[in-house]
Amino acid sequence: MIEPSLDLSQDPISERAIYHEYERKRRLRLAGTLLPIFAVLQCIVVIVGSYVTIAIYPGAPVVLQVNIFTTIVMGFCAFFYILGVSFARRGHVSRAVLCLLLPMGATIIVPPLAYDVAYHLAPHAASPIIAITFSIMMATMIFIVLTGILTTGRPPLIGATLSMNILTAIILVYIFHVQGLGAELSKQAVPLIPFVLVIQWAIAGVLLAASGTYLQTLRELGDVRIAYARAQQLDELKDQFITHINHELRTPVMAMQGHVELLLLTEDGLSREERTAYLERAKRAGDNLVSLVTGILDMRRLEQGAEAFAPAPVPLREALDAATQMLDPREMQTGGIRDLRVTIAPELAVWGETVRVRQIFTNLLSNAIKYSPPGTPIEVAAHQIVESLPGAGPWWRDQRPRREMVEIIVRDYGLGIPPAQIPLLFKRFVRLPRDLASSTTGNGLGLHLCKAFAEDMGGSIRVESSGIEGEGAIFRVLLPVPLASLSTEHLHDTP
Amino acid sequence: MGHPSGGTEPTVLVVDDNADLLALVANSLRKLGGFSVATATNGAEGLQCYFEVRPACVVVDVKMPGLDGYQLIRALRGDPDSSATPIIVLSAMVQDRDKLAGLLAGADAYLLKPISPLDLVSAVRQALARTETQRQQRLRALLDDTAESTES
Repeated sequence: MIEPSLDLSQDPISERAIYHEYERKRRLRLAGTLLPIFAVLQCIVVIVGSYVTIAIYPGAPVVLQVNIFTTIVMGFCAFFYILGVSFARRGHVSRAVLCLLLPMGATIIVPPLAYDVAYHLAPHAASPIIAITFSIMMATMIFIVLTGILTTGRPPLIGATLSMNILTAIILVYIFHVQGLGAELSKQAVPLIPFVLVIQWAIAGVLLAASGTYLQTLRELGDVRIAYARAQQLDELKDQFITHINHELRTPVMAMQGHVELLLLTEDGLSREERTAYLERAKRAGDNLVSLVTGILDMRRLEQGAEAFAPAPVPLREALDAATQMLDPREMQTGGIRDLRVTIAPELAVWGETVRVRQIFTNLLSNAIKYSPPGTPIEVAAHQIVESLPGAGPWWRDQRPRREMVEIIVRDYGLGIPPAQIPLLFKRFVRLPRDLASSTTGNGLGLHLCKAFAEDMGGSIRVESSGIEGEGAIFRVLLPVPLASLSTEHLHDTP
Repeated sequence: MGHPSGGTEPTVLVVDDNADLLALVANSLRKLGGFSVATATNGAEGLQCYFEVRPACVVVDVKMPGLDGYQLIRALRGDPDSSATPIIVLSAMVQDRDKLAGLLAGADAYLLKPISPLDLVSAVRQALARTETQRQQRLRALLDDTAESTES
């Protein structure tokens, strides 16, 4: 019997989750790769920058102060890069990305700040204003690119581009007021500022377009992966099915074949009672085989949707009587003599198919007998109700659509079902862990078929149980009322 | 739990939770093999029964409530008093890995259901006829074969 955890048939694959996972992994890999690269690059820039400034302006006290300032900023950046690598290793993608963008942003602001510090300390000293302006412009581009490839959606990219626009404009306007070269640059402000801003938006535009096509590709890749995963699940399910059927068939086949063979081999030495016992056992094994094969075929037909039926009124008392006659006599023997308490109005009928309604009764009664102790009663009741369907309308006006149904209740006073295991009950080939560890026979198809039959006829099935031994379980099957019985007088209401 | 009738014929303990199959195996061994047969319907009962009747051979199913077939075999193999008793697994689990698990647990033979009563009796006779050395050699060969087919 298949363990519950192996049943994959009901597990849907979430396409959205797969896309998100792809995207998350891509960003994580990218951040993990870029963080050390940027850390090294920044070290090189600071070291080379310091060396160059000291070489160009030897002995200037301001250079030392500026270098101390940039080293402090570099320490701040290094801290974030290390933190980012740690986040990336632990799979925290958003934090890792933040730890890359934050020092990157700081790096953009540092040169103008350093320049500002230097300018205030020595206003008349010569300064590398062109290099600073150029590096800022380049850094803003890199920041936009990083934001585009490391974040998801358009808002972060548009926000980053706008911020860089503002920063660029402020820095350029500021630099134009610097004495000397700044004043010279300010003459070209009209072509310079818009050009830089346009370049920044061009980069953002390229990234937005690339991200659109990338998402499309991602979806297509995701579809392929989903199809592959589903094919794998199907294969696994098929293997499980074959293994399960193989196992379930071998025992009754051996019992049937073995008893017949033993009878043939030892016929002369057997008493009449022994011969009868052998034949009875062989017949029982044959019955088990028929039951298993019928169940599998029913399930197969239902899954293929091949078994169309013409609905008709099905009198419930007649269906119940037929079901009790179909019950395996061994089950009745195992359960001892049972008090079957029936509360069904003789004229009550459902809209469905006789064989299916009968099968639902058979399976539910068979379970009730198997899982409750001898001598305890089994109750079967049915009545007409109004079912409120989930649907439109505010709760305070209660305009939910309703339909008239017949509720069939089968109750036993046996072991009950642990509430946590109730969701497993109606899955095919799944038996509760408790039953797997017991000698109670079953193939894990009965309740699955009840659910499939009920739903096929436009109804439903559910179970209530506290899981406390002695309180048993209550199965409630809802089936549509026959067309001619609609709007009858006494209706129970059900949520 | 069923005990054998007192006789000189070797006793075989059959452990299976399926009543019909238990009856079939027991009757086959009694009627066709002339063995004395003790029966148990689960591993724990089988273990208790083993030390009560001291059978010459054990035929055990795998999937049983409580103590399963493999656990029973390991328990018997772990006890010096029962470690040399031939044990035959009779199972409906057909995959090579199941067979390997059975042999690794300590079974002398792994028989697949369905098996004819005559073949079953023959397997029990062969198991009883083997000496301890033959048993060990055969087990090693079986394990090698099964491991090879599992790998392939």
